[in-house]
Amino acid sequence: MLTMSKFRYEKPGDLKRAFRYLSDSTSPKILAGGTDLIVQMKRDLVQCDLVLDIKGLTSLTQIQETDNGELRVGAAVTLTQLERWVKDHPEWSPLASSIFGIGSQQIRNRATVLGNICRASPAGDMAPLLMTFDASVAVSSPQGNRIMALDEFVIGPGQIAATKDEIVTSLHIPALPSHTGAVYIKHGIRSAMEVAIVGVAVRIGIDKKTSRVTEARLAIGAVTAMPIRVPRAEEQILNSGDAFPDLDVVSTLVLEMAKPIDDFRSSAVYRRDMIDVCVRRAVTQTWEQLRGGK
Amino acid sequence: MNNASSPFHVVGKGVPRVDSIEKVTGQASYLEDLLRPRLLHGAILRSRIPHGRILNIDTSRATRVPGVRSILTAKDFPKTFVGFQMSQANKPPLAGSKVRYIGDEIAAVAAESGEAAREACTLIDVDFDPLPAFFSVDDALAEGAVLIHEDKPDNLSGVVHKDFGNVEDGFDASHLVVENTFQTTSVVHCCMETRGALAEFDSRGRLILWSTTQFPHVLQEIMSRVLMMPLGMIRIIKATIGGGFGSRQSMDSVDTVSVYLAKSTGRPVRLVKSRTEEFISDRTRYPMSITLKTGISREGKLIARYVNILTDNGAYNDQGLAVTTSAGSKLTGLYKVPNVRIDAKVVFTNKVWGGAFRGYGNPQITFAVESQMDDIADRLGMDRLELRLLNVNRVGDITVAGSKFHTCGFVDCLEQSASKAGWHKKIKKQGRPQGTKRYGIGMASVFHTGGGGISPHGGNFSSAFIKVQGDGTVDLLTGVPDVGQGSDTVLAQIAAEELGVRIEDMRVHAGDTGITPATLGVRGSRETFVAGNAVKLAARSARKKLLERAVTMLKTDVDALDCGDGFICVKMSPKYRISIAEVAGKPQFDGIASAFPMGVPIVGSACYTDPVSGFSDSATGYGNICPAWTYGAQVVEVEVDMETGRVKVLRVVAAHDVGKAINPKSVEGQIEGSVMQGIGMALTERLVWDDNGRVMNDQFAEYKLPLMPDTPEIISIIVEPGDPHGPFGAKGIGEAAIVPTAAAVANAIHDATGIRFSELPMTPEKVLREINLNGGNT
Amino acid sequence: MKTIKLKINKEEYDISVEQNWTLLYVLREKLSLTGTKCGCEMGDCGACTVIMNGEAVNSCLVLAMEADGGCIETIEGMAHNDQLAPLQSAFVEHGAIQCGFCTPGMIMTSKALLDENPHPNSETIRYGLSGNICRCTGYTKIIEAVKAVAEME
Repeated sequence: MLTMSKFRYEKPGDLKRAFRYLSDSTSPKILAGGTDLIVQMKRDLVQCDLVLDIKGLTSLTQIQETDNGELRVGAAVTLTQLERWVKDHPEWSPLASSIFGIGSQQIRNRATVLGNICRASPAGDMAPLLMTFDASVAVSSPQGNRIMALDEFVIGPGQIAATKDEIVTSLHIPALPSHTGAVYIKHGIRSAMEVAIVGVAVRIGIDKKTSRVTEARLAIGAVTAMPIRVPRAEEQILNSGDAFPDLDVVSTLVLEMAKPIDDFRSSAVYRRDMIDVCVRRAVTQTWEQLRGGK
Repeated sequence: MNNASSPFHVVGKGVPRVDSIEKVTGQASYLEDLLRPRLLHGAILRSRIPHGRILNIDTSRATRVPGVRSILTAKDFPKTFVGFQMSQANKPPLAGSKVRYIGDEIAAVAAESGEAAREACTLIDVDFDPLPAFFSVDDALAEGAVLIHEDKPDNLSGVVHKDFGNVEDGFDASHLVVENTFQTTSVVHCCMETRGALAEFDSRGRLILWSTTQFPHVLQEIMSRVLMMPLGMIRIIKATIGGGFGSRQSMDSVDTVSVYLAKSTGRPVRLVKSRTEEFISDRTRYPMSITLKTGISREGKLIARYVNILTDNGAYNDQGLAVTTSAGSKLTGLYKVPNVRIDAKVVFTNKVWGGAFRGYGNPQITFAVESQMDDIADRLGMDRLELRLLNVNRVGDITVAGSKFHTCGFVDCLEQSASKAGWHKKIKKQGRPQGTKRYGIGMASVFHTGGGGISPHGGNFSSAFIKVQGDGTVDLLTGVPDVGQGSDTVLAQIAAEELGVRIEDMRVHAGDTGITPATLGVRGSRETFVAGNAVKLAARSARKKLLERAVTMLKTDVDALDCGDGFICVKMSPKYRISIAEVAGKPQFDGIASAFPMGVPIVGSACYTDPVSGFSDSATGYGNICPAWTYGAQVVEVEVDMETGRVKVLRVVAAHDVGKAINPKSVEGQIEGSVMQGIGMALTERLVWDDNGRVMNDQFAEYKLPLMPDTPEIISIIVEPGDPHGPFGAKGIGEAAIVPTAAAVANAIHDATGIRFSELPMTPEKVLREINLNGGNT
Repeated sequence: MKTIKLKINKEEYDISVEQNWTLLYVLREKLSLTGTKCGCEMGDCGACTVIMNGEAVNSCLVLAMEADGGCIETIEGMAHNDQLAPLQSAFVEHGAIQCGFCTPGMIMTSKALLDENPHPNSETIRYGLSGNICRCTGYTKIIEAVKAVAEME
């Protein structure tokens, strides 16, 4: 059986102790679900002297809705935990479309929402949809907390705007207005266990009375260095009023922003074709959600 | 005593597998579960360059790792090779002067822990003089290409030429001649258990080698020659094996290396490949480029076939020549065709070396043949099923290569699979657009061995011992390793039927050269037929002794007796009976059953050699080289997403001629498993290399095996025309069901989209590219 | 080395572990509970699945230290007093076992699935077991076996 290089493991019960462990080590790694970190350590892609298990920090294991309806997901909350919570809180059901396609049941039982974001894989499945939800991330250090929007937080492939002495503590998602539909569509080869070749997230809000589009968000994943929103495409959807958006135009605007690459999973050409397909399907499905009487 | 509708008590019933309790409780011991006192762990250092001379190996840093007990390089081995056919093998256990692919074994370490062994490997320094490397057959064959093996000019591992009839005359006489080229790629067995070995020398210097091998007795012979030790000093014991599919037919460096690590340390050494190692260094299916030219009469009768095959052998020899020869030879028996010529080249490349993989070249050639048959039917304006039925093989036929069919279920397989799938109704749905999805239905046939046949290791044989205990239970000793295909159970059923005991009374001991009598090994779907016959004969000889004893107890003649369900009874009055336990263990003292009543244990033994197979002319290859040919047909229904190119297999109807199903549930299981492997080969599975010859998808995350949500509905139809030589009429099914699946899927995709794919796998990207080239989603 | 406490199949263990060991390593190499298999070590195949604190997890991706204080169910704990659990009997009867290497992982994932949802439909079973690879059976009889248990009671 493969073994990992030696490291020290700590599971602090409070943030103060956690920060001390971090500052005492030269190359610490945060351990939440481990489904990425442990694989990387086994493949010798990551070396660290300290593995800091954050599952002992009870404040990070919670899902909470604040008084103004903002959703706060602690850094140690697993995908399964969030999936279950969403089932009981159907107004958040679009989140399920991101969670469902990640790994397997066993993976989702361990992998965390924030772990997926902090991994900052260009093909990560949580970030695109959360970007359309205007989500932000809270990062804690001994000096205090700071909150960053996702596009400020994820700064490159595998890179986040947090230092080695900081701990990402929670994900904040503002309350979704009523009459909002959203979906994340991921394209892969098989029905499960896939790294996205293309990911598209769409969120559309309409006015209750007039059915005119009041809000539009669109983000793409796996086709740029980081997941990004596409403001021009969003504008196009916004300006469609109460009519179904012109998918040809929306798709073209998205393709202008995408920079898909050739790799062993897919060629850039195929990715471009799939961006078009996923954009159309995502917008259509979101539209159908809204028409379905949300 | 009997069920009136079946003459058999045990045979023909889907009894639970005899090893299922151990497996379902986690008790079964696979290789990595085995523990020996003072066990050391082995690890192998593998090449990171695809081709180069080894200038120097420095192990000094590695020896200093605490816990390291032995480090070996090529100089610690005799001049010996690893593989299947020793006359062709050219893979040394550890690289001598050269490495020839990324993954090639260079050095081996035994240490107190796997961690230490692997760490030591990383500290072994190797100096290379890199050489140009070739990753395609064309590059390796190009003029002036550096030789991968200095003694193999033109980088040729071998050539094949076979001529039956007269293809020139045949093509001249043809109304229509079609020629197409097809391409298949490297597909990996992906046994869930990775390969391993545990070697130990006892205090007398005798070797015990626990192995995942499909060929314990052949491995024993090879080890005897490698170690220059007598056969009796070598014992090969199979552990519970987690899959084979042909990969475990050949030896691997792991076997020889673990033995020498054990020898050099004087301690048992266990060496198990990691999954990554399994992907980059274990056998694969041989990729083939197949150019097939076929001549047909106006009415649709096949007249001539010419095939030219280029096989990518990989870096070392295993069974490339045999697999290629076998592939070509299938042309002579998949439908009736009077003129066949086969030309082939087997070419070295600097990639992982191929080996036997379920179907043994037949899936590749059948992809070509059956894709082309659909094309031929369309050109002639014939229904695709009708064309096949027109050319179907039948009982009594002798093919142009000399294959004979004592029984033949081909027609039944074609008709029943088509009928069950609703072929005639559904074929009219072709191409009718349904939104962004198109429905298609396709079929393909298979002609394959169901009883092994001519082999490079001598006769197609097996032997068996039977011991009847005093309580009427039975020990069956067979050399056949159950690799998951269910041989233990089938052989137990055959023995039980012949002896008249219940399946619960059977115990199977298999694959231990110190105890079980020799069998050739698991290949060519042979064990039900060959080992089954051996077991039946052994059981019969034990049964004879039981009956002779029962005669005195029941006071009647042997001919008047019948056995079944654990009893021996008088045929005319079944109530007048005695239990086999009583006969076998007639108490001597105190009413306790004896293990050897009357002082004589009841045993049976037999050796069976296939009486059928042989070359009439070994120069041309003419002859009936298999004792029990089988046929089959599969009908596949697909849905193609015209926007993404993703193909969903909806349903597979698979009809296979198995002679007689000893265990119908097991037959279904073999069909279902094979079909899923065929779907993987058709749609998603392939190894991907970068420009430097490194495998990029060396994990399950990126090597795309079908997963449970991808499973279609699979309907198995068991066709039973019997067989005059098979035990209870049975023939094998271990491989046949993987053979036609990729072709059937390709034909269904063609039916749905009008696009003919000649290259596997038909990934969504490739499908979409062709859809777009052919006018898109119109 | 650190000492951790594990409750495995209702039995308590105190074990000395290195901090870089996985739960899979501890189960197999230190406790000789070899029913749980090592298939890929990367969480891709499910052969190492155990139930930890009520959830199916890939034990190859759980550090032993993380499992400290936890409650683990492995394949060895499924049968009671020589009586197979219904899932195990169903696998045997339906022919869902060929080489058997994937079987412990399949059973544990199925158990966790059924513990939470006693009557899943076919689609739920297929996706619920999407993280368990089988190369021998083609999945069909495994689905049938789990379905049979799902339809009980």
